[in-house]
Amino acid sequence: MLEVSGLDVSHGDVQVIWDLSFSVGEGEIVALLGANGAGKSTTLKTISGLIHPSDGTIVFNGAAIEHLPPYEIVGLGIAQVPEGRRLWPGMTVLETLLLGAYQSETRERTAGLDRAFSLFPVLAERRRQLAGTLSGGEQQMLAIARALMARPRLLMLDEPSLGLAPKVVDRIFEVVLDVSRAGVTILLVEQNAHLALQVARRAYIVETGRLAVSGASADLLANVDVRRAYLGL
Amino acid sequence: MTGALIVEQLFNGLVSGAIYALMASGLSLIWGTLKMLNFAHGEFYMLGGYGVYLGLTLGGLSPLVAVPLAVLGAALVGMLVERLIIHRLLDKPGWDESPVIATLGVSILLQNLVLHILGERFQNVPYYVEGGLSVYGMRMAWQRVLIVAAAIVVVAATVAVLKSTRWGMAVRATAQDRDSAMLAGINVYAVYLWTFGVTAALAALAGAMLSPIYSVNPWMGTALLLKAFIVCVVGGLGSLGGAILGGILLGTAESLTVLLWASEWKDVVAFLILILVLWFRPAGLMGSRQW
Repeated sequence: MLEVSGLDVSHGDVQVIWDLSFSVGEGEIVALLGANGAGKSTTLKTISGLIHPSDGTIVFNGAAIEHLPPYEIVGLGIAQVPEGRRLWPGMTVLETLLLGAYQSETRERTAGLDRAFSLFPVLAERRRQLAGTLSGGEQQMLAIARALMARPRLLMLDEPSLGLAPKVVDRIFEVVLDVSRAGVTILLVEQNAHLALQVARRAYIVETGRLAVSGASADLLANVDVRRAYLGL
Repeated sequence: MTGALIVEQLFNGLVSGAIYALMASGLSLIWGTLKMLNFAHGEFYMLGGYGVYLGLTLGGLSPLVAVPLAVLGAALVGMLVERLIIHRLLDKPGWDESPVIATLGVSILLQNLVLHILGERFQNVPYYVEGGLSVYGMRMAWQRVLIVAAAIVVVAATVAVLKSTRWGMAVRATAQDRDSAMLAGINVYAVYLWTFGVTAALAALAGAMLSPIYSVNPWMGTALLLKAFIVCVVGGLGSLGGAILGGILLGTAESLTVLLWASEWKDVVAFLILILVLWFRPAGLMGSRQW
Protein backbone atom coordinates (compact mmCIF):
# COMPACT_ATOMS: atom_id res chain seq x y z
CA MET A 1 0.00 0.00 0.00
CA LEU A 2 2.84 2.36 0.95
CA GLU A 3 6.25 1.81 -0.57
CA VAL A 4 9.12 4.08 0.50
CA SER A 5 12.41 3.50 -1.32
CA GLY A 6 15.82 5.13 -1.20
CA LEU A 7 14.54 8.17 0.70
CA ASP A 8 16.99 11.04 1.34
CA VAL A 9 15.73 14.07 3.29
CA SER A 10 17.62 17.20 4.32
CA HIS A 11 16.85 20.08 6.66
CA GLY A 12 18.69 22.88 4.88
CA ASP A 13 22.27 21.65 4.49
CA VAL A 14 21.96 18.85 7.02
CA GLN A 15 20.88 15.46 5.71
CA VAL A 16 18.72 13.69 8.29
CA ILE A 17 17.39 10.67 6.37
CA TRP A 18 19.76 8.44 4.41
CA ASP A 19 18.58 5.90 1.83
CA LEU A 20 15.58 4.79 3.89
CA SER A 21 13.34 2.09 2.44
CA PHE A 22 10.34 0.38 3.99
CA SER A 23 6.82 -0.69 3.14
CA VAL A 24 3.42 -0.95 4.76
CA GLY A 25 0.88 -3.47 3.47
CA GLU A 26 -2.89 -3.05 3.31
CA GLY A 27 -4.47 -3.58 6.74
CA GLU A 28 -1.16 -3.88 8.60
CA ILE A 29 -0.01 -2.12 11.76
CA VAL A 30 3.66 -1.26 11.23
CA ALA A 31 5.86 0.50 13.78
CA LEU A 32 8.75 2.84 13.06
CA LEU A 33 11.00 2.84 16.10
CA GLY A 34 14.17 4.58 17.14
CA ALA A 35 15.72 7.00 19.59
CA ASN A 36 14.90 10.68 19.82
CA GLY A 37 16.25 12.44 16.72
CA ALA A 38 16.57 9.29 14.64
CA GLY A 39 14.42 10.83 11.91
CA LYS A 40 11.07 9.13 12.58
CA SER A 41 9.00 12.33 12.62
CA THR A 42 10.83 13.65 9.55
CA THR A 43 9.90 10.45 7.72
CA LEU A 44 6.21 10.91 8.52
CA LYS A 45 6.31 14.59 7.52
CA THR A 46 7.89 13.60 4.23
CA ILE A 47 5.15 11.06 3.53
CA SER A 48 2.52 13.73 4.38
CA GLY A 49 4.16 16.20 2.00
CA LEU A 50 5.09 18.80 4.63
CA ILE A 51 8.72 18.19 3.61
CA HIS A 52 9.91 17.09 0.18
CA PRO A 53 12.73 14.56 -0.16
CA SER A 54 15.93 15.33 -2.04
CA ASP A 55 15.94 11.82 -3.47
CA GLY A 56 13.93 8.59 -3.40
CA THR A 57 10.33 7.70 -4.08
CA ILE A 58 7.15 7.32 -2.02
CA VAL A 59 4.46 5.30 -3.74
CA PHE A 60 0.95 5.10 -2.28
CA ASN A 61 -1.47 2.68 -3.95
CA GLY A 62 0.54 2.83 -7.14
CA ALA A 63 0.86 6.63 -7.32
CA ALA A 64 4.11 8.53 -6.72
CA ILE A 65 3.36 11.13 -4.05
CA GLU A 66 6.80 12.46 -3.01
CA HIS A 67 6.31 15.78 -4.84
CA LEU A 68 2.62 16.35 -4.11
CA PRO A 69 1.48 19.09 -1.69
CA PRO A 70 -0.07 17.92 1.63
CA TYR A 71 -3.65 18.81 0.67
CA GLU A 72 -3.49 16.45 -2.33
CA ILE A 73 -1.93 13.66 -0.26
CA VAL A 74 -4.79 13.96 2.27
CA GLY A 75 -7.19 13.60 -0.65
CA LEU A 76 -5.51 10.32 -1.64
CA GLY A 77 -6.23 8.86 1.81
CA ILE A 78 -3.24 9.50 4.08
CA ALA A 79 -3.83 11.28 7.40
CA GLN A 80 -1.28 12.10 10.08
CA VAL A 81 -1.66 12.67 13.80
CA PRO A 82 1.29 15.00 14.40
CA GLU A 83 3.72 14.76 17.30
CA GLY A 84 2.59 16.86 20.26
CA ARG A 85 -0.99 16.76 18.84
CA ARG A 86 -0.75 20.25 17.29
CA LEU A 87 -4.39 21.18 17.85
CA TRP A 88 -5.68 24.68 17.06
CA PRO A 89 -5.90 26.18 20.55
CA GLY A 90 -8.66 28.67 19.67
CA MET A 91 -10.96 26.16 17.93
CA THR A 92 -13.73 24.28 19.65
CA VAL A 93 -13.79 20.48 19.58
CA LEU A 94 -16.59 20.61 17.01
CA GLU A 95 -14.74 23.09 14.77
CA THR A 96 -11.58 20.99 14.98
CA LEU A 97 -13.44 17.87 13.85
CA LEU A 98 -15.23 19.70 11.02
CA LEU A 99 -11.88 21.05 9.80
CA GLY A 100 -10.49 17.50 9.87
CA ALA A 101 -13.00 16.72 7.12
CA TYR A 102 -12.18 19.94 5.25
CA GLN A 103 -12.26 18.33 1.82
CA SER A 104 -15.40 16.23 2.40
CA GLU A 105 -19.01 16.86 1.46
CA THR A 106 -21.40 18.10 4.15
CA ARG A 107 -23.16 14.74 4.40
CA GLU A 108 -19.89 12.87 4.89
CA ARG A 109 -18.86 15.38 7.54
CA THR A 110 -22.01 14.70 9.56
CA ALA A 111 -21.43 10.94 9.30
CA GLY A 112 -17.82 11.48 10.34
CA LEU A 113 -18.91 13.40 13.43
CA ASP A 114 -21.19 10.55 14.46
CA ARG A 115 -18.31 8.08 14.11
CA ALA A 116 -15.91 10.31 16.04
CA PHE A 117 -18.38 10.82 18.89
CA SER A 118 -19.15 7.11 19.15
CA LEU A 119 -15.41 6.32 19.21
CA PHE A 120 -14.71 9.06 21.78
CA PRO A 121 -17.92 9.87 23.73
CA VAL A 122 -15.97 12.38 25.85
CA LEU A 123 -15.51 14.58 22.77
CA ALA A 124 -19.27 14.78 22.30
CA GLU A 125 -19.63 16.10 25.84
CA ARG A 126 -16.90 18.67 25.24
CA ARG A 127 -17.90 19.70 21.73
CA ARG A 128 -18.32 23.40 22.61
CA GLN A 129 -15.07 23.56 24.58
CA LEU A 130 -11.88 25.06 23.15
CA ALA A 131 -9.30 22.44 22.14
CA GLY A 132 -6.64 24.19 24.22
CA THR A 133 -8.61 23.63 27.43
CA LEU A 134 -8.86 19.83 27.16
CA SER A 135 -6.73 17.44 29.23
CA GLY A 136 -3.70 15.80 27.58
CA GLY A 137 -5.50 12.52 26.95
CA GLU A 138 -8.57 14.26 25.56
CA GLN A 139 -6.34 16.34 23.29
CA GLN A 140 -4.71 13.18 21.92
CA MET A 141 -8.15 11.64 21.32
CA LEU A 142 -9.22 14.83 19.52
CA ALA A 143 -6.07 14.76 17.38
CA ILE A 144 -6.78 11.14 16.38
CA ALA A 145 -10.46 11.90 15.77
CA ARG A 146 -9.50 14.91 13.61
CA ALA A 147 -7.25 12.72 11.44
CA LEU A 148 -10.00 10.07 11.13
CA MET A 149 -12.48 12.71 9.94
CA ALA A 150 -10.66 12.72 6.60
CA ARG A 151 -11.58 8.99 6.21
CA PRO A 152 -7.96 7.92 5.66
CA ARG A 153 -6.93 4.51 4.32
CA LEU A 154 -3.53 4.99 5.97
CA LEU A 155 -3.33 6.59 9.41
CA MET A 156 0.10 7.71 10.62
CA LEU A 157 0.49 8.35 14.34
CA ASP A 158 3.50 10.25 15.66
CA GLU A 159 4.26 9.47 19.33
CA PRO A 160 0.66 9.11 20.50
CA SER A 161 1.79 8.07 23.99
CA LEU A 162 3.93 11.16 24.56
CA GLY A 163 3.33 12.81 27.93
CA LEU A 164 0.26 10.72 28.82
CA ALA A 165 -0.50 8.69 31.94
CA PRO A 166 -0.20 4.88 31.45
CA LYS A 167 -3.94 4.37 31.82
CA VAL A 168 -4.64 6.96 29.12
CA VAL A 169 -1.99 5.42 26.87
CA ASP A 170 -3.76 2.04 27.17
CA ARG A 171 -7.02 3.68 26.12
CA ILE A 172 -5.33 5.36 23.11
CA PHE A 173 -3.82 2.06 21.96
CA GLU A 174 -7.19 0.29 22.34
CA VAL A 175 -8.57 2.88 19.95
CA VAL A 176 -5.67 2.34 17.53
CA LEU A 177 -6.52 -1.39 17.48
CA ASP A 178 -10.23 -0.58 16.96
CA VAL A 179 -9.37 1.68 14.04
CA SER A 180 -7.16 -1.03 12.57
CA ARG A 181 -9.94 -3.61 12.89
CA ALA A 182 -12.20 -1.21 11.01
CA GLY A 183 -9.87 -1.61 8.02
CA VAL A 184 -7.52 1.36 8.31
CA THR A 185 -3.82 0.65 7.75
CA ILE A 186 -1.59 2.08 10.48
CA LEU A 187 1.98 3.38 10.55
CA LEU A 188 2.99 4.02 14.13
CA VAL A 189 5.98 6.05 15.28
CA GLU A 190 6.89 5.49 18.93
CA GLN A 191 9.71 5.95 21.38
CA ASN A 192 7.97 3.51 23.68
CA ALA A 193 9.17 0.45 21.76
CA HIS A 194 7.77 -2.12 24.15
CA LEU A 195 4.27 -0.74 23.72
CA ALA A 196 4.55 -0.34 19.96
CA LEU A 197 5.77 -3.92 19.44
CA GLN A 198 2.73 -5.21 21.30
CA VAL A 199 0.30 -3.71 18.80
CA ALA A 200 2.38 -3.76 15.60
CA ARG A 201 2.95 -6.93 13.62
CA ARG A 202 6.16 -5.68 12.01
CA ALA A 203 8.63 -2.94 12.88
CA TYR A 204 11.48 -0.97 11.38
CA ILE A 205 14.17 0.45 13.66
CA VAL A 206 15.93 3.60 12.43
CA GLU A 207 19.19 4.91 13.80
CA THR A 208 20.51 8.41 12.90
CA GLY A 209 18.45 8.52 9.74
CA ARG A 210 19.33 5.04 8.45
CA LEU A 211 17.43 1.77 8.61
CA ALA A 212 19.13 -0.41 11.26
CA VAL A 213 16.98 -3.51 11.73
CA SER A 214 13.57 -4.67 10.59
CA GLY A 215 11.41 -7.71 11.14
CA ALA A 216 8.37 -9.19 12.80
CA SER A 217 7.66 -7.75 16.23
CA ALA A 218 7.89 -11.15 17.90
CA ASP A 219 11.36 -11.77 16.39
CA LEU A 220 12.62 -8.32 17.38
CA LEU A 221 11.38 -8.80 20.93
CA ALA A 222 13.01 -12.24 21.09
CA ASN A 223 16.40 -11.12 19.78
CA VAL A 224 18.66 -10.31 22.73
CA ASP A 225 21.06 -8.14 20.70
CA VAL A 226 18.25 -6.06 19.23
CA ARG A 227 16.62 -5.69 22.62
CA ARG A 228 19.83 -4.43 24.16
CA ALA A 229 21.07 -2.22 21.33
CA TYR A 230 17.90 -0.61 20.09
CA LEU A 231 14.98 -1.22 22.35
CA GLY A 232 16.52 -0.57 25.75
CA LEU A 233 14.62 -3.56 27.10
CA MET B 1 -17.51 74.25 25.01
CA THR B 2 -20.97 72.90 24.50
CA GLY B 3 -22.19 69.35 24.90
CA ALA B 4 -23.09 69.27 21.22
CA LEU B 5 -19.51 70.13 20.27
CA ILE B 6 -18.13 67.32 22.41
CA VAL B 7 -20.51 64.78 20.91
CA GLU B 8 -19.72 66.06 17.42
CA GLN B 9 -16.02 65.68 18.05
CA LEU B 10 -16.51 62.20 19.53
CA PHE B 11 -18.37 61.30 16.36
CA ASN B 12 -15.45 62.55 14.28
CA GLY B 13 -13.23 60.34 16.42
CA LEU B 14 -15.49 57.41 15.57
CA VAL B 15 -15.06 58.21 11.85
CA SER B 16 -11.24 58.08 12.10
CA GLY B 17 -11.58 55.05 14.37
CA ALA B 18 -13.64 53.26 11.73
CA ILE B 19 -10.98 53.94 9.09
CA TYR B 20 -8.19 52.83 11.46
CA ALA B 21 -10.11 49.66 12.26
CA LEU B 22 -10.59 48.84 8.57
CA MET B 23 -6.88 49.35 7.88
CA ALA B 24 -5.58 47.63 11.02
CA SER B 25 -7.83 44.58 10.70
CA GLY B 26 -6.28 43.92 7.28
CA LEU B 27 -2.75 44.21 8.66
CA SER B 28 -3.69 41.91 11.52
CA LEU B 29 -5.22 39.29 9.23
CA ILE B 30 -2.04 39.19 7.17
CA TRP B 31 0.13 39.04 10.27
CA GLY B 32 -2.06 36.28 11.71
CA THR B 33 -2.00 34.03 8.65
CA LEU B 34 1.35 34.78 6.98
CA LYS B 35 3.33 36.11 9.99
CA MET B 36 4.56 39.05 7.93
CA LEU B 37 4.16 42.82 7.90
CA ASN B 38 2.69 44.32 4.75
CA PHE B 39 4.26 47.70 4.04
CA ALA B 40 2.28 48.03 0.82
CA HIS B 41 -1.02 48.01 2.75
CA GLY B 42 -1.29 51.83 2.58
CA GLU B 43 -1.11 51.67 -1.20
CA PHE B 44 -4.26 49.55 -1.39
CA TYR B 45 -5.95 52.38 0.53
CA MET B 46 -4.53 54.80 -2.05
CA LEU B 47 -5.72 52.62 -4.95
CA GLY B 48 -9.21 52.57 -3.45
CA GLY B 49 -9.19 56.38 -3.34
CA TYR B 50 -7.94 56.73 -6.91
CA GLY B 51 -10.36 54.04 -8.06
CA VAL B 52 -13.39 56.07 -7.00
CA TYR B 53 -11.80 59.30 -8.22
CA LEU B 54 -11.42 57.81 -11.70
CA GLY B 55 -14.84 56.16 -11.58
CA LEU B 56 -16.69 59.28 -10.45
CA THR B 57 -14.92 62.08 -12.34
CA LEU B 58 -13.72 60.38 -15.53
CA GLY B 59 -16.14 57.48 -15.78
CA GLY B 60 -19.16 59.46 -14.58
CA LEU B 61 -20.29 56.44 -12.55
CA SER B 62 -22.55 56.50 -9.51
CA PRO B 63 -20.74 55.95 -6.20
CA LEU B 64 -22.79 52.76 -5.83
CA VAL B 65 -20.91 51.36 -8.83
CA ALA B 66 -17.59 53.17 -8.46
CA VAL B 67 -16.90 52.09 -4.85
CA PRO B 68 -17.41 48.33 -5.43
CA LEU B 69 -15.35 48.54 -8.65
CA ALA B 70 -12.50 50.33 -6.85
CA VAL B 71 -12.56 47.80 -4.01
CA LEU B 72 -12.60 44.87 -6.43
CA GLY B 73 -9.77 46.37 -8.48
CA ALA B 74 -7.57 46.82 -5.40
CA ALA B 75 -8.37 43.26 -4.27
CA LEU B 76 -7.15 41.96 -7.64
CA VAL B 77 -3.94 43.98 -7.34
CA GLY B 78 -3.50 42.53 -3.83
CA MET B 79 -3.91 38.97 -5.10
CA LEU B 80 -1.48 39.68 -7.92
CA VAL B 81 1.11 40.96 -5.41
CA GLU B 82 0.67 37.78 -3.35
CA ARG B 83 0.98 35.41 -6.32
CA LEU B 84 3.84 37.20 -8.11
CA ILE B 85 5.96 38.24 -5.11
CA ILE B 86 4.97 36.92 -1.68
CA HIS B 87 4.28 33.39 -2.91
CA ARG B 88 7.83 33.12 -4.25
CA LEU B 89 9.36 34.13 -0.90
CA LEU B 90 7.31 31.68 1.20
CA ASP B 91 9.10 28.71 2.79
CA LYS B 92 12.46 30.13 1.72
CA PRO B 93 15.30 31.20 4.03
CA GLY B 94 15.08 34.85 5.10
CA TRP B 95 11.29 34.94 5.59
CA ASP B 96 11.82 37.15 8.67
CA GLU B 97 12.91 40.10 6.57
CA SER B 98 12.23 39.29 2.91
CA PRO B 99 8.50 40.27 2.90
CA VAL B 100 9.33 43.58 4.60
CA ILE B 101 11.76 44.50 1.83
CA ALA B 102 9.52 43.14 -0.92
CA THR B 103 6.39 44.98 0.26
CA LEU B 104 8.35 48.22 0.73
CA GLY B 105 9.35 47.79 -2.91
CA VAL B 106 5.72 47.22 -3.95
CA SER B 107 4.76 50.35 -1.99
CA ILE B 108 7.33 52.49 -3.82
CA LEU B 109 6.36 50.96 -7.15
CA LEU B 110 2.63 51.62 -6.74
CA GLN B 111 3.15 55.19 -5.45
CA ASN B 112 5.37 56.09 -8.38
CA LEU B 113 3.21 54.31 -10.91
CA VAL B 114 0.21 56.40 -9.83
CA LEU B 115 2.39 59.53 -9.67
CA HIS B 116 3.61 58.88 -13.21
CA ILE B 117 0.20 58.18 -14.71
CA LEU B 118 -2.05 60.56 -12.78
CA GLY B 119 0.32 63.28 -11.58
CA GLU B 120 1.23 64.65 -8.18
CA ARG B 121 -1.64 67.09 -7.81
CA PHE B 122 -4.16 66.44 -5.03
CA GLN B 123 -7.46 65.51 -6.67
CA ASN B 124 -10.84 66.20 -5.16
CA VAL B 125 -13.50 63.55 -5.03
CA PRO B 126 -17.12 64.69 -4.76
CA TYR B 127 -19.12 63.69 -1.68
CA TYR B 128 -21.32 60.66 -2.31
CA VAL B 129 -24.24 62.27 -0.51
CA GLU B 130 -24.58 66.00 0.03
CA GLY B 131 -25.87 67.50 3.24
CA GLY B 132 -25.86 66.13 6.70
CA LEU B 133 -27.69 64.95 9.71
CA SER B 134 -28.70 67.54 12.27
CA VAL B 135 -29.78 66.41 15.73
CA TYR B 136 -30.05 68.72 18.76
CA GLY B 137 -27.73 71.25 17.16
CA MET B 138 -25.10 68.65 16.25
CA ARG B 139 -24.17 68.44 12.59
CA MET B 140 -22.75 65.34 10.97
CA ALA B 141 -22.12 65.12 7.23
CA TRP B 142 -23.88 62.16 5.61
CA GLN B 143 -20.52 61.15 4.11
CA ARG B 144 -19.11 60.65 7.62
CA VAL B 145 -22.19 58.73 8.76
CA LEU B 146 -21.76 56.58 5.66
CA ILE B 147 -18.11 55.85 6.53
CA VAL B 148 -19.02 54.60 10.00
CA ALA B 149 -21.93 52.54 8.68
CA ALA B 150 -19.86 50.96 5.91
CA ALA B 151 -17.02 50.14 8.31
CA ILE B 152 -19.37 48.53 10.84
CA VAL B 153 -21.11 46.42 8.19
CA VAL B 154 -17.90 45.29 6.50
CA VAL B 155 -15.95 44.53 9.69
CA ALA B 156 -18.94 42.65 11.15
CA ALA B 157 -19.27 40.69 7.91
CA THR B 158 -15.55 39.83 7.95
CA VAL B 159 -15.75 38.60 11.54
CA ALA B 160 -18.86 36.54 10.74
CA VAL B 161 -17.20 34.97 7.69
CA LEU B 162 -14.09 34.10 9.72
CA LYS B 163 -16.19 32.68 12.54
CA SER B 164 -18.63 30.50 10.71
CA THR B 165 -17.82 29.77 7.08
CA ARG B 166 -15.68 26.90 5.86
CA TRP B 167 -13.23 29.37 4.29
CA GLY B 168 -13.07 31.46 7.45
CA MET B 169 -12.33 28.39 9.54
CA ALA B 170 -9.52 27.49 7.13
CA VAL B 171 -8.03 30.98 7.60
CA ARG B 172 -8.20 30.69 11.40
CA ALA B 173 -6.72 27.18 11.34
CA THR B 174 -3.86 28.39 9.15
CA ALA B 175 -3.22 31.26 11.57
CA GLN B 176 -3.27 29.03 14.64
CA ASP B 177 -1.15 26.16 13.31
CA ARG B 178 -0.11 26.11 9.69
CA ASP B 179 1.24 22.55 9.60
CA SER B 180 -1.92 21.16 11.18
CA ALA B 181 -3.98 23.10 8.63
CA MET B 182 -1.99 21.50 5.81
CA LEU B 183 -2.38 18.03 7.35
CA ALA B 184 -6.15 18.59 7.52
CA GLY B 185 -6.13 19.07 3.76
CA ILE B 186 -6.35 22.87 3.68
CA ASN B 187 -4.54 24.49 0.76
CA VAL B 188 -2.78 27.19 2.79
CA TYR B 189 -1.42 28.83 -0.37
CA ALA B 190 -4.98 29.50 -1.49
CA VAL B 191 -5.70 30.87 2.01
CA TYR B 192 -2.76 33.29 1.63
CA LEU B 193 -3.95 34.42 -1.79
CA TRP B 194 -7.50 35.14 -0.65
CA THR B 195 -6.31 36.76 2.58
CA PHE B 196 -4.29 39.24 0.51
CA GLY B 197 -7.33 39.94 -1.67
CA VAL B 198 -9.66 40.48 1.28
CA THR B 199 -7.23 42.71 3.20
CA ALA B 200 -6.53 44.82 0.11
CA ALA B 201 -10.30 45.18 -0.32
CA LEU B 202 -10.69 46.35 3.31
CA ALA B 203 -7.96 48.99 2.83
CA ALA B 204 -9.40 50.08 -0.51
CA LEU B 205 -12.84 50.48 1.03
CA ALA B 206 -11.34 52.77 3.68
CA GLY B 207 -9.66 54.83 0.93
CA ALA B 208 -12.79 54.93 -1.20
CA MET B 209 -15.01 56.11 1.65
CA LEU B 210 -12.58 58.70 3.04
CA SER B 211 -11.37 60.23 -0.25
CA PRO B 212 -14.23 62.80 -0.57
CA ILE B 213 -13.17 64.25 2.80
CA TYR B 214 -9.38 64.36 2.33
CA SER B 215 -8.91 64.27 -1.50
CA VAL B 216 -6.52 61.77 -3.10
CA ASN B 217 -2.77 61.85 -3.79
CA PRO B 218 -0.13 59.18 -4.45
CA TRP B 219 1.25 59.33 -0.87
CA MET B 220 -2.04 59.28 1.02
CA GLY B 221 -1.43 55.74 2.31
CA THR B 222 1.93 56.38 3.99
CA ALA B 223 0.83 58.37 7.04
CA LEU B 224 -2.24 56.19 7.54
CA LEU B 225 -0.16 52.98 7.41
CA LEU B 226 1.91 54.25 10.32
CA LYS B 227 -1.26 54.87 12.32
CA ALA B 228 -2.59 51.44 11.38
CA PHE B 229 0.61 49.84 12.68
CA ILE B 230 0.17 51.74 15.96
CA VAL B 231 -3.41 50.47 16.16
CA CYS B 232 -2.24 46.89 15.51
CA VAL B 233 0.41 47.03 18.21
CA VAL B 234 -1.92 48.71 20.72
CA GLY B 235 -4.68 46.18 20.04
CA GLY B 236 -2.31 43.19 19.83
CA LEU B 237 -0.69 42.24 16.52
CA GLY B 238 -2.64 39.49 14.82
CA SER B 239 -5.79 40.06 16.88
CA LEU B 240 -8.83 41.12 14.89
CA GLY B 241 -10.77 42.27 17.96
CA GLY B 242 -7.69 44.21 19.03
CA ALA B 243 -7.53 45.99 15.67
CA ILE B 244 -11.15 47.11 16.00
CA LEU B 245 -10.82 48.14 19.65
CA GLY B 246 -7.46 49.84 19.06
CA GLY B 247 -8.81 51.71 16.04
CA ILE B 248 -11.76 53.18 17.90
CA LEU B 249 -9.56 53.97 20.91
CA LEU B 250 -6.99 55.82 18.83
CA GLY B 251 -9.58 57.70 16.76
CA THR B 252 -11.40 58.87 19.87
CA ALA B 253 -8.19 59.85 21.68
CA GLU B 254 -7.05 61.89 18.69
CA SER B 255 -10.27 63.81 18.27
CA LEU B 256 -10.45 64.54 22.02
CA THR B 257 -6.91 65.90 21.75
CA VAL B 258 -8.01 68.20 18.94
CA LEU B 259 -10.96 69.37 21.04
CA LEU B 260 -9.16 69.89 24.35
CA TRP B 261 -5.71 70.83 23.13
CA ALA B 262 -4.65 71.44 19.53
CA SER B 263 -4.61 69.34 16.37
CA GLU B 264 -0.78 69.44 16.19
CA TRP B 265 -0.71 67.30 19.31
CA LYS B 266 -2.79 64.42 18.03
CA ASP B 267 0.17 62.43 16.65
CA VAL B 268 1.98 62.97 19.95
CA VAL B 269 -0.97 61.48 21.79
CA ALA B 270 -1.11 58.56 19.34
CA PHE B 271 2.53 57.68 19.93
CA LEU B 272 2.19 58.27 23.66
CA ILE B 273 -0.58 55.65 23.76
CA LEU B 274 1.69 53.30 21.82
CA ILE B 275 4.54 53.81 24.30
CA LEU B 276 2.26 53.33 27.31
CA VAL B 277 0.78 50.12 25.91
CA LEU B 278 4.24 48.76 25.06
CA TRP B 279 5.31 49.64 28.57
CA PHE B 280 2.48 48.11 30.56
CA ARG B 281 1.03 45.52 28.19
CA PRO B 282 3.63 44.64 25.54
CA ALA B 283 1.46 41.99 23.86
CA GLY B 284 -1.25 44.61 23.21
CA LEU B 285 -4.70 45.01 24.72
CA MET B 286 -6.01 41.74 23.24
CA GLY B 287 -2.66 40.23 22.31
CA SER B 288 -3.07 36.64 23.38
CA ARG B 289 -6.63 36.20 22.15
CA GLN B 290 -7.07 33.64 19.39
CA TRP B 291 -9.54 34.27 16.61
